[in-house]
Amino acid sequence: MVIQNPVSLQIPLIQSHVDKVTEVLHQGGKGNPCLEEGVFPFQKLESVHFGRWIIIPAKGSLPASLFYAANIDGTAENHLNEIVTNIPEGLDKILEHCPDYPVGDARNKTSRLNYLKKYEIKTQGFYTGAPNRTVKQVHQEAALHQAIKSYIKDNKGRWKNAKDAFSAIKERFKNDKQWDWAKERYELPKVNIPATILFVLLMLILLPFILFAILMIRLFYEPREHPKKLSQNQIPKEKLKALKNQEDIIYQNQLSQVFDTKTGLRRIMLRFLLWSTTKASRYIFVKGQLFGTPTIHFARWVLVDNGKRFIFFSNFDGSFDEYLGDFVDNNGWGLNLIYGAAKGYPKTYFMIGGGSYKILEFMGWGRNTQVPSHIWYSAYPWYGQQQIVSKTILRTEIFNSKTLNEKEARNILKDI
Amino acid sequence: MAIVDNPRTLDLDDIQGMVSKGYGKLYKTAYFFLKVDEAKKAKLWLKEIAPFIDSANIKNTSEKTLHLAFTPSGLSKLGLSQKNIDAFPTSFVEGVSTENRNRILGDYGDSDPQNWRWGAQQSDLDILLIFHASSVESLNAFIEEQKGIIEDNGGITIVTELKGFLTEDNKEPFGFHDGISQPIIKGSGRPGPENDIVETGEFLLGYKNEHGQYPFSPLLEENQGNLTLLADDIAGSGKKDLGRNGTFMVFRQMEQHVDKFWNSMEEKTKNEDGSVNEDAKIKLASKCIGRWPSGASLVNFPDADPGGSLDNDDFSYADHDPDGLKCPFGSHLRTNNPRDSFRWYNKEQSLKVSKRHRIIRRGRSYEMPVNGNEDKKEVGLQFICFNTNIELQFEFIQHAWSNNNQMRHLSNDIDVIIGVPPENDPNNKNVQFTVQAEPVNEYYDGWERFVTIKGGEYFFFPSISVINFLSTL
Ligand code: HEM
Repeated sequence: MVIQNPVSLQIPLIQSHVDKVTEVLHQGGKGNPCLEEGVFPFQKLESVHFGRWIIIPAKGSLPASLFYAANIDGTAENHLNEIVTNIPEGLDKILEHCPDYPVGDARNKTSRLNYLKKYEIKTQGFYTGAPNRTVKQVHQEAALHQAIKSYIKDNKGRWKNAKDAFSAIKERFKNDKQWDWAKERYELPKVNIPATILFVLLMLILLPFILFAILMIRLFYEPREHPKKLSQNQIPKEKLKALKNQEDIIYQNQLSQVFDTKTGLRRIMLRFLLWSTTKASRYIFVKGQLFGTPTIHFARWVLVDNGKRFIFFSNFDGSFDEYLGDFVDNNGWGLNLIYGAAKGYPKTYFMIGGGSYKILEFMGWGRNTQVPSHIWYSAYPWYGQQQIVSKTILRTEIFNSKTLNEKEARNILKDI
Repeated sequence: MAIVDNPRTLDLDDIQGMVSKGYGKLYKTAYFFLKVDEAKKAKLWLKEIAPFIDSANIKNTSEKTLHLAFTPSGLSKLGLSQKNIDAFPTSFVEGVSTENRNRILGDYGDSDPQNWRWGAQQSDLDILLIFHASSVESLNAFIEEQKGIIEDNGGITIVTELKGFLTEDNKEPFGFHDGISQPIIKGSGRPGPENDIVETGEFLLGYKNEHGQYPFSPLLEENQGNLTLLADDIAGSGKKDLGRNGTFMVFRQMEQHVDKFWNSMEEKTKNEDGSVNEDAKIKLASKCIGRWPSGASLVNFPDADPGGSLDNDDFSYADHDPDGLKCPFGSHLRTNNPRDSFRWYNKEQSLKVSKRHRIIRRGRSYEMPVNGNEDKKEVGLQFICFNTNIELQFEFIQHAWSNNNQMRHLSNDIDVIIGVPPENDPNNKNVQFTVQAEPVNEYYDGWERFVTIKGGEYFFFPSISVINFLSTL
């Protein structure tokens, strides 16, 4: 079984080259979404589900830097190897603007690889919407689903009941060599019960500390937080326009945000909450929804600049407004817990109240902290998150399962 | 569903009537697009006609009504400062057509705003004047009278005139009873089905919405005009609120290809011997809409149209049609308002989501000669709706629901009435319509677009006191 992993690289930039590298990445807007091969052809990397290059802007004493993020099948080691093997030129064009990037004869596969490895950083928070599926599998299952639909359409009116229909479909697809790959046993991700119990136990043990932390934050942090209350309407028009010009082109969208981290207990809690989110995502939220939000393919949170800032990247279905609205409808409190650690976030109460529930202010904050994703790639630009999940379920039902009774068969057929 | 009381709390006399009244008996409509030539005179004209604007008060039962709406350029030409205009929501300031909005709304190809006959900030569209009257004669007389006033005034010119109408049986050009489902504004005094009563702030600025918050309202950033006519910002900023009791209006002229629509339904439902199956044809069309031609709900009457004219809106999906076997998930009705059955959410959560994305529809049909040729008629819908947050209501419905080809488990279905797939989706020519059925679903392929956008704009639809305020700038 292949597990998807995050790769995060934060690479320093020669500060006088920020404009130049921005231009290289931006490619006159063609980099996002990256539908055709551009300066960094993600298309040549088989292991990538979603990938992006952004620039973390300079702020105060913190310099600007480059950030590379990819959600990949397999290990980071393999992935970095794949990059230096398949797109060395593209990599050079970008990294030429970084200090100490090997030049001349010193530039080769190994030195490039070492350079990348040097700047690999830990991803503290990570969520996968459709765990344990490779890019290849996603495409294969989509093709199978399409073929099943066509078969049903061609046989309209032929079957008297769901059981017959299901057997016929099964028969048809099991005996066709083209779908042999689907016979390979595949287990749908399940909630890991022992891990969940341990996780819940741990949370119970920590509960007094968590409550104490919440109380401290209520008493000593929240009263001192005075965010600017901006709505999306008050974001500089040019900034908003530039962001929107790169949105709603394919089925999915991206969000890249950079935040200044609050200090002290807020920062400690952030680390703890990101750790918990990652664990919960691995063990509990494995069926395609993060706290009830069903449209997220991948999301990550990474502390950068020694924790002074953190970033949030996500790949989701639908527009910015739909996505943030959906999130607030489903679990605004979860957003508050994590993003409450970001300076400028709408005022929270006891860490979970307020905040995102002030939806206009929340969306304004979202836009205000957003930075352009100059290069953004999706391996399957037209697939919704829930469709990916349900196509895998269909495949397992057709190829892995025993004979079904009428009701079970109907339940599967109705979702095709 | 229980019909519940909805005590009146709003100052209906300050709200323009169209927000809460459909004028079902005033069959004829005219829309004038006006250009402001001279601010001073235009303001005199505003002052002169403001008293005749119909209010939301149901005691007013005038036989002819007048309403006014404004674009940003209209507000600017009347003298509202740029700073005050910038305080309006971005969607209104930018207008219906931007690079991003064209994509969201699906305005490309034949519907490209470059081909529109009006709107998209292309012409001198400053003020929209809407007339309703009971008959052609009374409408014409009314228009003549108003044209006289406009000419005498001399500060404004009529740039474009459009017409609209309701038929007595309220059927839109495809032949379906329209204008049935509407949200009811909380506080308007009108009782209605519980699920249709929606927080005031979804439709009127200055009140709390379904999020329990005040919608974004244009506040006066620098003082001008007669401030005593304006309410204070209820959210407590200390500024004056230009929005209170007003709202935003979306207007899109949508040509309907009626022949194409029915030919397509006919082709897809022919008997095996190639003969036409009239019943199947009407049934498929009804499945696409989500109601029978009479207006009867597919949930209440799954098998056949009971006929007559039914405007019952008292139905829901979760208990009576959870699997879409009666009213398909992809139907116009169900995509545009999933009611108590959104995704796999429970009833309460579904309703919460649905109620945050509702619109008040005030569309009317139109018929106009093609290129001046009286024998050839273009027909369609003057689609109008009201909402306080265009992004989260009208645009959301069009984009997240109608144009979304992957709602629920559907994998390449859009609302075949108004949905548009993304321009560069390689599969956009193969959209489907799925009729949920047993033992297996039925799929219909090969859809053309039945609607072409011919014009459109976003307008500010202020309260009556704000219209008076504008005349004091
Ligand atoms: C030419 C274009 C259109 C046609 C022919 C059309 C037709 C209809 C018809 C026949 C109904 C059922 C009657 C009723 O329940 O009131 C309906 C309902 C509805 N339509 Fe449309 N419509 C069109 C455009 C639009 C647009 C552009 C939108 C919004 C983006 C929209 C949103 C709705 C909504 C929200 C309902 C009510 C759904 C409910 O509450 O159950 N329609 N339409």
